[in-house]
Amino acid sequence: MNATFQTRRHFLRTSFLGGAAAWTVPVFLERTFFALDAAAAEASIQTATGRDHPILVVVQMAGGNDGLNTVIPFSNDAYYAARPRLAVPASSLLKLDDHTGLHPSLAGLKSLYDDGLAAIVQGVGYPNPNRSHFRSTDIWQTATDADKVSHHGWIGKYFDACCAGEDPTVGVAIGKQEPLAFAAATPKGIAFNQPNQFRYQVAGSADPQGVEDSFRDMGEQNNDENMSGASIGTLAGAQASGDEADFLRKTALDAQMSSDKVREVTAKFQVSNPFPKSQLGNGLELVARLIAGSMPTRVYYVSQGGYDTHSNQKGTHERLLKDLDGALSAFLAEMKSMGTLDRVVVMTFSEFGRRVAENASGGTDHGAAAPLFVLGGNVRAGLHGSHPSLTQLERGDLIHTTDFRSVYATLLEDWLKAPSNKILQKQFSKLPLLG
Amino acid sequence: MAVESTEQDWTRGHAAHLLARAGFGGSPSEIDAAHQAGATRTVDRLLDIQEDDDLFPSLESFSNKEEHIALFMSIRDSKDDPAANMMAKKQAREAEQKALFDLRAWWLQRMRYSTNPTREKMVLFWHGHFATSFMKVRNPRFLWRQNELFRIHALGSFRDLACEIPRDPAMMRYLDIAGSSNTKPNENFARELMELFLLGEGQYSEEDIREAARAFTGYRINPMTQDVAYQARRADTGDKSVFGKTGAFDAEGLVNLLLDQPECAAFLVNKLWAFFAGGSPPPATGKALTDTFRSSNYQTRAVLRSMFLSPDFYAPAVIRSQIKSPIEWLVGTSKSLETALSGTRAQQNVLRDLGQSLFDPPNVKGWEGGRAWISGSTFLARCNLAGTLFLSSSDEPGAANLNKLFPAEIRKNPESLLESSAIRLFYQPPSGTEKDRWLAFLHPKDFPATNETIADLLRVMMSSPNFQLT
Repeated sequence: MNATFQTRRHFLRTSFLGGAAAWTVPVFLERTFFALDAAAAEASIQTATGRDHPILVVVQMAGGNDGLNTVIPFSNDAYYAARPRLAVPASSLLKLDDHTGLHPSLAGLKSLYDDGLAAIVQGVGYPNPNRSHFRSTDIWQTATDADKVSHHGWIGKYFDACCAGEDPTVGVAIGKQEPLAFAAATPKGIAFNQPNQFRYQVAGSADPQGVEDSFRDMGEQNNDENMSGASIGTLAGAQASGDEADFLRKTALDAQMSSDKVREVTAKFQVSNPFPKSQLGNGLELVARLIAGSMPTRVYYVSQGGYDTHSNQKGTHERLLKDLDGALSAFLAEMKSMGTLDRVVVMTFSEFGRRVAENASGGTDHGAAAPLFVLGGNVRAGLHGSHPSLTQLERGDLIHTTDFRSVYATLLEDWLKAPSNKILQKQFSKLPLLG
Repeated sequence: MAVESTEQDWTRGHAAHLLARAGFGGSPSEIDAAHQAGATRTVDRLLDIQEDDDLFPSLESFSNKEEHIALFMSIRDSKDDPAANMMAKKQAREAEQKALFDLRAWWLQRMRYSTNPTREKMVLFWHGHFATSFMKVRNPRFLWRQNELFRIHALGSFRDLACEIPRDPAMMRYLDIAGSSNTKPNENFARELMELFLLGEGQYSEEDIREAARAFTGYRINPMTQDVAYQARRADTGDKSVFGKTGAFDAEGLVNLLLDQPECAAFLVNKLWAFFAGGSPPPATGKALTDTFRSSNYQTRAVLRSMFLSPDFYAPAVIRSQIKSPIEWLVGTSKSLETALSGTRAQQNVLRDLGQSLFDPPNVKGWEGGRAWISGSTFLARCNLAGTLFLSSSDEPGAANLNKLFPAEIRKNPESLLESSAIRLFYQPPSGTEKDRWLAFLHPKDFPATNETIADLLRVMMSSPNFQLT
């Protein structure tokens, strides 16, 4: 019996690899035959070898970060007028120029800025801003206009356009579930929290080998019809048909294929810089180890929560920014130690900023435009775009000066070398953030 | 609604489907009983509450309000003594954690053993709908009180429940009603009330939210009594204009105004359908259910009865098409395998790892559900944890008693063992490629099967993608 399963499994793997001759090629690291063929056929198809491709790390600051207290227009009296309790005094700021300073918790980012590794894009948002956490997060994740709904994420659309045939680990989210940003016509990407639990465990079984073989066989057997002579493209298409059973089978298969590699890499590679022991710190530390292990991952996704500071904002916001600052600084330092600083770009984002005026609970309500950070060895450090006016507001909120999709377009074109107009379905002007 | 055709077509599979969705599943004999009773009788038994509170005594941790207040006092009184203050805070934290653990265990037991499983399923629905998290509320007693509020109104009047929500201390703290005042009203609650609780995104303007927020001012929680108080001088008692109506609405008045919006009933019906059946209702059925909900003045029992007796609820595309939530996976498997479920530390940790810690939804939108439950890592975790929780050979409380579940005649050959196992775990006999795979797994084993063989078979079956569906 096992011999049959063995054959099926190999049949599957060889199908992924495009031919029987590939039996001995490691599944995860090297480019697949299919991808090579496809790359020849269409120039936009990219392949990742794990050693030289550009890497994007997306850091989500969930809850709506108070951008006005992150990158602070300290020369503007309107700032102090709107925030009698929450304004950060100019004397304690980390000044970037005569008008703008960083929150005192962001000392690490200030050093990165001074070292030419940090770009700050000011006033990022979109027209007709939505003040719902969920809707606005969806808008950021799917890169649509505020009045349009899409079920596919901007990174997922990039995978669809440029990464056909790549390993599922082309996208890695640290967390329990994949972000909407990864959702795609041909779903890719994996999500996990702790690599040592990312495996099928048969401890306690009387017949571990039999149980594991049967487990490994399931994704494949159910796809026998699809496998016979089918290309990887149609297999993936079938799996994305919307049927929950197919979705489960595909997830199971991806998990099987990825878990061995992830555990191998994370067991082998450790970091040399101290990371904060927080969700974000742990997440970025894990990303650093995966990069060290030459995973074929192009986009990593990590997140930090807690920015919905409707009440008693001061201490909470300080703590959150300190955590962010520590985690990002450690990550950049680690990239430097590993010699991968030039291969990595980090982008932060939050679904919206907060109301200019503070509320009566010592907090701030949902707002609109906010700054974001782009970090890495290849970024053009400095302040980009212009700070929104503090006096010309829309319903008490900042009016954006840069569309977030201009940031995406820049990262897609100038970093991931992908056709942004195809992915974003519109032409957005780029910013001089890279190179 | 074609109740007659639901009754006529009633199969054992339909009975299993109803018990799994309207409650948390059942053992083979419970499913047989529901099959024999018929559709209408089974639905009515699920919806007619026979109090079982004596089975679940009120929690020690929560009956003593004074103790909680004493902890609060000792923190306050030790303000000037950093060492004593730190100790008092530590004590309070430990007491909170203990109480939260007890609370979770208590509710898990109710879900597992209640004779009113549909009520507990609705409490779970309301918990996800009016999502409130310990991470911000920090007071397990408030969450227990909210949980009881959901139970009281679980199948009753949604209008009554919605009116209670703005003066529920857990919600007041979670969405910042507790600090909101007339000078600068906090919009958090007003926004989520419209977007997530009553109307749905896009059914209101930003101006409606700003005006409505003024109605939720002046409500406070007295830390000494832990009761809700109204401070008139902090309340905005002026006229508010919301949805074209102007008046001096207070919290209840404003909730009632929203409940009178035409979108409200349809919004709730769609959410109930997605929770119990999955996806969206066929338009005609959705409309009929919405009419029922509205004409009954928001009687939840009435809309559930129509739903559970609608032929659309038993359509082939509905049955075994929904991804089990971690709670359904845990409680349902415990019922299928007739194991004890007391809410042990291990069981609570499993729920956390699978993404559904009770009293700690990810955000105010509750659990997203569906495919969001499953990633590579949670899929693997479900497979692994099924083995350790239910098939442990040690004296782990909660492991299945295989001697009792699989008597000698069932162990005789692979076919009978497989059929019995599949009926327990999937409510139906095995078929197709899965059946071939499982028979192949059993092929080299010795028969009559040992407990070890049965445990391995169950482990393999519970590791299949199909086991994640209900």
